[in-house]
Amino acid sequence: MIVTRLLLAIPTLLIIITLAFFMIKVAPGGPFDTERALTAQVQANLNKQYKLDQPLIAQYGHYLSGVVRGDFGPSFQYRDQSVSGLIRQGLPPSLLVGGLALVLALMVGLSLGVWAARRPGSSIDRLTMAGASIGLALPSFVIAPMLAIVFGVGLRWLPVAGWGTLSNLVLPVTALAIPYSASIARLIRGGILDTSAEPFVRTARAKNVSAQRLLFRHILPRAMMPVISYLGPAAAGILTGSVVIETIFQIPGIGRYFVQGALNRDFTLVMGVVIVYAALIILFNLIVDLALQRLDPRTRDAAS
Amino acid sequence: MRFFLCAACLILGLSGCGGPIERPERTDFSSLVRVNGDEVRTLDPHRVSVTYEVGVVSDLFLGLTDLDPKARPVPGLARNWSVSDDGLTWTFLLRDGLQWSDGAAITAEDFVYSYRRLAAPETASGYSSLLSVITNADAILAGKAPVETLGVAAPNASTLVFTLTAPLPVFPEMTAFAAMVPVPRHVIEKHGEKWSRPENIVSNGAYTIQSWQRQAHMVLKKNPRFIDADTVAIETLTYIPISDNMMAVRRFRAGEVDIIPEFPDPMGPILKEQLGEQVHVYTYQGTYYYVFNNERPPFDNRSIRKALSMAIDRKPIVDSIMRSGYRPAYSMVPPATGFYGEAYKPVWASWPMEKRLAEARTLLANAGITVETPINVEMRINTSDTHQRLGLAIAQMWKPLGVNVTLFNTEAAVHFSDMRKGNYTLARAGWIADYNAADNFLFVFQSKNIGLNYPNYNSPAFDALFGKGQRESDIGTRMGYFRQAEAVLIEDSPILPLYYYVSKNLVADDIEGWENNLPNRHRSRWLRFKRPAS
Repeated sequence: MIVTRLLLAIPTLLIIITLAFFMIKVAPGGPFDTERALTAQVQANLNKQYKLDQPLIAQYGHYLSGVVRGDFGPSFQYRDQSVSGLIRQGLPPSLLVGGLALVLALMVGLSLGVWAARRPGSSIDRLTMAGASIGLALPSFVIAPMLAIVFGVGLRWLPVAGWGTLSNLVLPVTALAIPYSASIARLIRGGILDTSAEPFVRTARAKNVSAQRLLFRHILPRAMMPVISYLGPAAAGILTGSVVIETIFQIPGIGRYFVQGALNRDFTLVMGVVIVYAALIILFNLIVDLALQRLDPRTRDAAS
Repeated sequence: MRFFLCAACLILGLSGCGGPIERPERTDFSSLVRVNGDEVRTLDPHRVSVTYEVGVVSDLFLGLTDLDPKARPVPGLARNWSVSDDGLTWTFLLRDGLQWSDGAAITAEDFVYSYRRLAAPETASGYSSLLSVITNADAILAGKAPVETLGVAAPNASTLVFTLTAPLPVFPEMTAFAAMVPVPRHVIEKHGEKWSRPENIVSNGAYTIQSWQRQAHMVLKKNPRFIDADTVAIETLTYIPISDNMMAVRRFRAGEVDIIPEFPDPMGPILKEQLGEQVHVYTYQGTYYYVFNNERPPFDNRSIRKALSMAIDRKPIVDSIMRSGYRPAYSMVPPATGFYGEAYKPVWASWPMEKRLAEARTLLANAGITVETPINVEMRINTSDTHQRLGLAIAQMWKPLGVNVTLFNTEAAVHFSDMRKGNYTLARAGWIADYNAADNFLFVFQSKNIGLNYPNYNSPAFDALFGKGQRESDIGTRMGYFRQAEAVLIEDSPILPLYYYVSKNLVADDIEGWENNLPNRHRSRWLRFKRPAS
């Protein structure tokens, strides 16, 4: 099962690489079309250095053979750096912020959702769900500067932006986690309410199982299913969402390379980040599917 | 309470709480944090291409000359310099005991090597055009002559002689420019392309690089081998790249950074209120203009171009839209450019607006353009709030004349590539000079300047006058020719100058040694903190 999925990932990645490569190439403008014009001679020299003077299909072949060897080529903007080197520097901060945001979103979302589901229709339930709707509706590029203004400039509790200390992590992780914790809260609440109406829960109740045991042993594993399926797209969303958050909070992650690379037509850099994003998303989806399989008694038994 | 106030301000859309803002008290007097508009892409002086790279490289490297706080050329690695009577031969004498940060000696040969590297086609330097004035540089860059033929020689270890093709009185200012510093041959030969990585780089300026987490912060340390090390006050210098200048302002307010190089234009007045003297707005050597495609109707017609320029009331544009002290422009060369005198002003620029509009209407009507028979024009802008707001204002001003403007915005890469291909009718552009001299503005419109001469302006009269000025070594006569050339240019109206740029720095009020200057160059070596009286 895992092996087949991993093998399937190869053609998926190949399609993504091919599409991305040709899409970037058809975009108008090139890496050396800056406001400060280079002389025609300098342009020609640069194109030759970066093999941009070769036919597109040759460039594609050249690029692909590099990728197979794990070489993402030289960066057009950072002329003394390789794309692999830049990604190696940028990936840890991105994964740290994204991973913490996912954990925070799970913790906050699950607690709120479970709390709200205990008494559906109560004022706590309605308040939590209203809060979740707001959290969902506010895009991160609104939440992030708001947090920075209130906690950084106004109250001076936390740094406005930057990187290097633990306190630098608080605002970006929070801003990134808010919409996802809202989704998770709504999902788990719905899951609990649906599951509570199932016959097996009624049976358990009739058997006088304690409320705590009922919730944790019988209801939650089942109610978690939609949350876990959601984690795949959520992880992907947090990754791409971090492009905005990284720019606002000046986090040295790959999201910023992605934005800058795209704007400056740094072909190799954009390609490199696309490949890393794609690989991560494929990996997350695989993990989620495996987890679902383990949790669901039906598929678990079928697999074993 | 403060929490709610801020939250309230936020909801009302204000950009912070009103009234003066106090930054937290400073405790570390040896460490300065500067913001850069974006991340530096390379530290190789021959590969820099944008202002924020120029700033960092100038803190790391020192050239023959340097710019003092007021941006006047002062001795750098050269003790003194002299020029021959014809203005074509410049001789620089190096100071004694010059060292790279690794202890190796710096000799005149290092300079010769560096200028040859800058000129070499394989270096593909964006600033190689600066060398144009040096004998054979253009031929070398085009691959038509070996680098050894460049007009730079080192008769002995401490003398450097340049041979120019035309006089350039501001040459000592140009030698202070980041691309003109020497680079360490012994390091480049050892590491190749990777010499400029932080772990390999060796420099000779006031600072050396200590650590660099790309996109987060670059930390520089005072270089003990710097020739004037005893005068450098700041021990640790940090550069932080922030492309969102609103965020830079927030970090400045919070006291996290000490100098920021830019703030959003409409914030000028509110920042002045909040930060007082820390707001430094000053004339900058740059001009914002629109380009007419002179080869495409309707703008192949000079009267139409001129009429449209006349019809723009620049005052409300700088006062209400830009709001940060910009000045209306009617010419390419800004006021206060070295030795140039007053900025050129066409006669109509002093007419009252009604008269200008009437004249513009007549000119347009003669070309068949009226409100009843309007024309449609697409204005190309690169994506930015400012360009958008300006474009809309201009469209409003032209509409009553029968010119309907639609805005079309693209990212910068597409914008400039299309302009270079002539694939536009009307487009925004700007030019910031590399050094403070009129020639560095006017050369843009030479007919041979492919790449920068966006309107494809082709005027033999302009070319001839500009060329005469370039060959002249007497400053007065030189400027006379340049002024005549610009008069030809502006009366032909291939472009529509809108305003002169300003530099907009925020500088913490306890920093000394900061002087606003025209090229907006501020070496960190001159800065220090005022210590509180104890």
